[in-house]
Amino acid sequence: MNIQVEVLDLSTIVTPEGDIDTMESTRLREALKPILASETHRLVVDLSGVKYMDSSGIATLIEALQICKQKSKQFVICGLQDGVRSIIELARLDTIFVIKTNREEALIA
Amino acid sequence: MQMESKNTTCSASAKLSVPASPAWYGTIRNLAIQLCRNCGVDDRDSGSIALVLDEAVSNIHRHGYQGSHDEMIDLEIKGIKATPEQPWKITICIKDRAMQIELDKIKSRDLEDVRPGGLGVHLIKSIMDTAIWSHRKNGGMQLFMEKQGEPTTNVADVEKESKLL
Repeated sequence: MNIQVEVLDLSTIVTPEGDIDTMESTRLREALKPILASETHRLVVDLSGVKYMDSSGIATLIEALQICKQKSKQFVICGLQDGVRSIIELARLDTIFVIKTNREEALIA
Repeated sequence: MQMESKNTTCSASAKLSVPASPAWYGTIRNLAIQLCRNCGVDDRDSGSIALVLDEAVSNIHRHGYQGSHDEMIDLEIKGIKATPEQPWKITICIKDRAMQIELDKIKSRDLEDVRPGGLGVHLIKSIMDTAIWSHRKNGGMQLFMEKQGEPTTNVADVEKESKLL
């Protein structure tokens, strides 16, 4: 999995590309760590390049959401493909996460 | 990995034994997706069934084998193709040699409690029509699962889809 990080003013966009399973969720967690510790006000995870995510990927997003809440940062996910949207809905997390269609919408959320 | 597979006009099946290691999860997912598609299962349900396998195998690795990569997991996936007379049906049986867990302790966590982890059993039970855990006679656990689709009205679509693979 390839993970891109872009810093735009007070927002940081993380764009993983590829499947997020048990092996790759560890890499995503490591990529998010320094951003969660930084001064960024808004963390956007753009999932448009992710076709598949398992519960370890969901756990990584929940961890990031909880840290953002503790630190008064905004956490937004966007670009969900059908398979990823399906697992988030099954886990009933669609009302917990702020979900936007694309990164442009996420940056003004 | 040991594997054998059969594919006839009415059904397909695959048996494999793989190490309980995350390195194999992608292989298991891809096999499940291809077998499901070949039976006329749409992309959404194929992906969900692959996710269920991933979660089940991952739970065995983490909890049953306590993270060890040296143990094996046996899987059998059977699929019945959709026809105008019958819906597709996917049957999965997963066996391990891990320590036996009390069956009433295998349950979904409360989804109101938003926290990382513990979603695997919920996803398995939500996606599959049937999910039954049991103790094997000579040690280890077995998970039997089934999921069935709706009867298709257009068998040509099913045939066309299977030829694309």
